Amino acid sequence: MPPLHTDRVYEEELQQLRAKILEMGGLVEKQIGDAMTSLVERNSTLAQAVIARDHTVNYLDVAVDESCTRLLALHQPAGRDLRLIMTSLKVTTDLERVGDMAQNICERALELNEEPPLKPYVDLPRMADWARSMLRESLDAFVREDTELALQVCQRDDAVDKLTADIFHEMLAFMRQDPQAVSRATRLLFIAKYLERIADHATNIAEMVIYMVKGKNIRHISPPPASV
Amino acid sequence: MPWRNSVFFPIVLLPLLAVAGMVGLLVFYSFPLTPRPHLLWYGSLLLGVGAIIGAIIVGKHLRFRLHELAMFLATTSEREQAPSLPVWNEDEVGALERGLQQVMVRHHERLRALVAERKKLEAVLQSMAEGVVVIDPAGHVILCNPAAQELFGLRPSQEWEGKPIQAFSRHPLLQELLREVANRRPGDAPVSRELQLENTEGRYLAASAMQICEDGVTVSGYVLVFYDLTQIKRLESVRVDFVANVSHELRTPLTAIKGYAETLLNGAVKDPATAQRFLEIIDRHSERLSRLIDDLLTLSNLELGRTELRKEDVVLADVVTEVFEIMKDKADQGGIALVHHCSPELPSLIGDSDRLQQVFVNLVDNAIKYTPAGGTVTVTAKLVRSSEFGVRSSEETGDWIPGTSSLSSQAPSEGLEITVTDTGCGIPAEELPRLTQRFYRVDKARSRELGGTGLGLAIVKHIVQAHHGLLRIESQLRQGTTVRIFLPL
Repeated sequence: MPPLHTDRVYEEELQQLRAKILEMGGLVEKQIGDAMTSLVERNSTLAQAVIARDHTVNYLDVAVDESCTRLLALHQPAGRDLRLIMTSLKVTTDLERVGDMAQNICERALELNEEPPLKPYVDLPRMADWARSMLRESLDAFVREDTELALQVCQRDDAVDKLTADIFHEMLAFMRQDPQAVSRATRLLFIAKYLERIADHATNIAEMVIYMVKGKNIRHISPPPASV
Repeated sequence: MPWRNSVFFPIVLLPLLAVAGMVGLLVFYSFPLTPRPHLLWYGSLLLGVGAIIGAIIVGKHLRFRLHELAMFLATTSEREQAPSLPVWNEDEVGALERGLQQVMVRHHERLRALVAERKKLEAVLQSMAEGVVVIDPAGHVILCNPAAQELFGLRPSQEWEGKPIQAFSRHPLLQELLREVANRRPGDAPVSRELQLENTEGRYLAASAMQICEDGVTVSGYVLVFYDLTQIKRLESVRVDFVANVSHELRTPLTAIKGYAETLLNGAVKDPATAQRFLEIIDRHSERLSRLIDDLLTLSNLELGRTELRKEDVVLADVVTEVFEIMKDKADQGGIALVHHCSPELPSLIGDSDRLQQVFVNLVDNAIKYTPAGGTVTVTAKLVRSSEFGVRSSEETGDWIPGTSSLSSQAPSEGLEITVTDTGCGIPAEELPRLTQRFYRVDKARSRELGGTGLGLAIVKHIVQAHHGLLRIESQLRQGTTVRIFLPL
């Protein structure tokens, strides 16, 4: 078989890299969803399944890293392609962390399921929906190269921070009322923190998408710019 | 082809004749012949000059025809219809012209057929309820229909062609499906999966994927077809929930009755005080059980359309007064004021007064249950047109439960709008659409404690529907709930 044209191999490898990132993203989105379901429905089996699935996320993380190294070493990419690879390297780390957060939520859910419920979950699922939709939109922005969508994600981060603060005060009130509630309230606080971190990672991804498409760095600018 | 029709004839013969003329002239001057044959001299000259002129004319004509041919070829592919090409002469060029003309006509016919075919296909794809996405082997979208975009909740304006399939959904099961279909051999049965999308709508989809393979060997892409299962899943869950709920609701009083009866049998009957108390409990629970079964029967009859409505003139004010009399004790116990603003002057309705009374008993009973002491339950009625009732529906956010789906499309008719308003705890907005489902309770523990069967609003909905009315529930948390009913006159 004659060797394929170099550019075509290169192009294909870039496509595969993108597909791997998106596959990982899809998996992580589902992990968060399932983690929250296991918490709200007190479903320990599901929580264990989520924890067991985390290694797939880790495997994909390593695979993306390897693809990036290979592309960098063999093809010396420049410009847009280089930015895609740089973005992939960072996004995969973010996604891997989000996967870990989902795993952590499940661990807390397993612990919480051992005890009677503290209160019906209202704010946490809402916050999870918010964080998940941010993650989903940041990945949508990645696949569509849609900088406007990415920017919207960056601008939504504040709302999650505010919800975290609300939950914090609510939990504090629970703990003051009843010392018995401290261990559960602390775990719920942890979960709120994980969700807030997920939203932060989604924001990071969105910022990297803007870098990938426009070559412009908007990280660590607060508030995020109104347009790019 | 006859000899004289060939283009070979002028092209070869005319120069030959010219050469012959030249040779004649050469002979004439080379040999000093006496006497000089003038005929030869003039004849040769005429032949030579004539042949040259003829050659020029023929050449020009040929050039003109070839030019026409070139122009024809250049323009014909851009036009809708093949332009006609005149055939000047039945020679070789003529055959070429005729042949090309035919080819072009056929080409255009085929093109038209293709376009028509494509349009047909597009129309089919556009009007399909199933989402169809075609991707190339690398996973890029080649084609997708509007239904697919809608199912995935995508903006229809955006161009999706060329984007990776992951722009539609990154669901792990979809990835798995694609991987599996890629491993299949051409011609194998399609692979399918059921998945719930991760986006806000959370639709259930059945996805099936198949290879596109024109020559039986190379795969040129995949066709993905998505069916929306959301509705089916919802109905399924309603059915399952209903069975579970009925069993649960029936079991609760039954367990109590059985427990106390057993205790009585085991000797408690000998102690009159205890026996009295236990029997009271048994009585209360059998009361509840029979109420539940009554409600279930009413509901099932209403749903099956078995209940005949007695058609009679109903004065609403009388119905409400009667309902208030029934509910008075309960309201007084809870410290709740009952107020009604129903003028007896309002035109009377045609309907079943017993059923309507049941509607208001259920609604007022609900209102009293969820209103803290010191609150008020108000019933008002006024004359409106159905269109006015309808117009407001688009502005406000509550859930409309149309009694008859055709009513909104009919000419506006007059009717009574009746509202039952309380100052109770209110209902979260996300619960509003499910309120009229059988056994649906916002706060499960509390509702049962207050003696509800979970069927009240379902019955209200069905009676209102049977009267061709509309029902709508609005609520503000901690402010109160308003149930609006529109009943046509």
